[in-house]
Amino acid sequence: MNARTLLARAGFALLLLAIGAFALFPFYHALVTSFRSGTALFSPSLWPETLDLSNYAQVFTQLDFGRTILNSVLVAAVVVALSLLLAVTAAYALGRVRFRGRGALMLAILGVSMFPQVAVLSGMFELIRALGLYDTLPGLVLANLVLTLPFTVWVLTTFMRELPKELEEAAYADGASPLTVIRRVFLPLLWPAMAPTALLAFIVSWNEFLFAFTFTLSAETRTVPVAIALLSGGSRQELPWGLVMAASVIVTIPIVLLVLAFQRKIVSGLTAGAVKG
Amino acid sequence: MADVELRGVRKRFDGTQVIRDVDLRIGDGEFCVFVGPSGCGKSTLLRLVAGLESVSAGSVHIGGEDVTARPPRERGIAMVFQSYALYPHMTVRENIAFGLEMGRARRAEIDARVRDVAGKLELAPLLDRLPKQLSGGQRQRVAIGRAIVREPKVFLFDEPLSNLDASLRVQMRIEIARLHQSMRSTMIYVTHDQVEAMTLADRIVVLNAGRVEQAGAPVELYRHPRNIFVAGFIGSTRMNFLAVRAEGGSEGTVAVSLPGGARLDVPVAGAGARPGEALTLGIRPEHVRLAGDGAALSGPVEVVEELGDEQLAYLRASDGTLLTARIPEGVRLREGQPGRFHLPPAACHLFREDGTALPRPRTDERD
Repeated sequence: MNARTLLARAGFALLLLAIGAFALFPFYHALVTSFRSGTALFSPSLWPETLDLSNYAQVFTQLDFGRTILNSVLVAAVVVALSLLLAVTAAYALGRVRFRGRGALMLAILGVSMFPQVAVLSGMFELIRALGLYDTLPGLVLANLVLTLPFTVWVLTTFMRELPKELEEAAYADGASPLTVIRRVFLPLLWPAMAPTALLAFIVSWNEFLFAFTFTLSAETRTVPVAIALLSGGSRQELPWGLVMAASVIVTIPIVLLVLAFQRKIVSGLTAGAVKG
Repeated sequence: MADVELRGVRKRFDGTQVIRDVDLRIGDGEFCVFVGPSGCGKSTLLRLVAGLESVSAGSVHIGGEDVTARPPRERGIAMVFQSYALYPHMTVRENIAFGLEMGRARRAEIDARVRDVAGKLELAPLLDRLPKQLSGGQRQRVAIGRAIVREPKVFLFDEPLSNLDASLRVQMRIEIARLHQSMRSTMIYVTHDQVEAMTLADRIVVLNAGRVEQAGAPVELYRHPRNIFVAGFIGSTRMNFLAVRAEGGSEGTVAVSLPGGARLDVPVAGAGARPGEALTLGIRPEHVRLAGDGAALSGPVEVVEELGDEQLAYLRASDGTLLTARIPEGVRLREGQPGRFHLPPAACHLFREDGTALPRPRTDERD
């Protein structure tokens, strides 16, 4: 190895290090801060001096954080389930059935995802109140579906189009009904696309703040991002940074675990061997 | 087991007519092969029988019942696809059992029938493998197994062997022929391969541009093509066509003059061939002789293709037509040398300008 390639490698490593630090430092900072309390919160030190878990204990005792997490999990899980159900069936129609206006419909679905959340906020508010879902979890589910459906439908439709048409026809010739074809043939083959899509939908719903903030009122229906934003200290001037950081760390962990779990499930090349290739 | 009947079937896709007025009856237990050039509508016709496409007009009958409006699963058919279309996430066993499960058969019965079929097709050791772990020939056998296990009334094959290599294709062809012998069920088979059509079929249906050009036994199509399209399409080396002029005709012969001036009396029913009418003479390369009776064409031999047991010689006639002859091995022909091709009159076909054949006598049994 000559000096030039060595230098190039070192430069590349430095670049990676910089990107990694940029991405991870905020989380590291949150983690370190969550172990501090009182005036230590404002210490400029980069390393944790003590491992004080009182912030974590306080998050669960002082606030009803268990309930909040449960709300978030419920909303996200139902959103994911509904998104996938609707997206798979929609993808079948959009990817497989020839009908007039299919392209326009696809564009409309994509268009929906381009509206900023604020633009639909007041309309959504009216809708949710009219349905009697204000300050309820189903209301949040409905609102979050607006965010998740466009991309779940798009991803699954493009993936569905890639699946060989003969597979479906073979199943029909074998005597299957359209629903059976979706359940027994498409679902197993769509799994590699569904896993990451579900994960994305979960993250979107988990992180969603604006709808959750607007459409809920009581502490019983709060989701995690809203609960963290509404944490307040003893006085107006004091923000309980320790609590905020501890709560942030707690809610990041499920996402990290989910990503790790799904990563293993994402099987590639499942369609290999279906047709000659 | 059942017969299949198509009555006045038409199919159009976005304004293009793919199938035009097809009337066809395929008898119970018959092995019927659809052949034709690509785009002739043969696969579409098969898919109309399967119910994977719906007819634009006309009706489809299977076993005497009108199934035009029924989905595939209510037609009693099984289909083998060109790409095999095995379910990639299921093992061989599950692939074969899938159709039976759809039919709500009992677990024990499914197992017994899957094992039976696997035995017949030598798939028993492969039952727990996934399709991606199989070779092309094995995948094809699974696809066939998946079809036969359901004991359908009608089997549909859509170019099932075209993805296999040559030697495997011959082997599978024999297996399919054996299958038909043992099952005696109605089979419809789409192919563009001459040899498959000739060897497998009880009856060949030649399609062109969405129409049935001729339907009949392989030998019938070979000896008595109804028109110039069928004559050119059937036969492993394409029939030679020569522009000739009618000199005069009687009941049983038509005299024609070949390019270069030679006269030939072709034994076809010539009533209605006017003297001076432009005709096309057809002769198969295997019937062209280097010596013997009949008029001869001479010209330079341009290319000789050595095939081992025989040779294909190409001769440029005086009007520029390239004629092919199949010549037994051992005969010496040199490229670039002048040659003479004799056309035995009894082996000649004559076609009018609209492509229809002048009928040849039925007594001829030569080939």
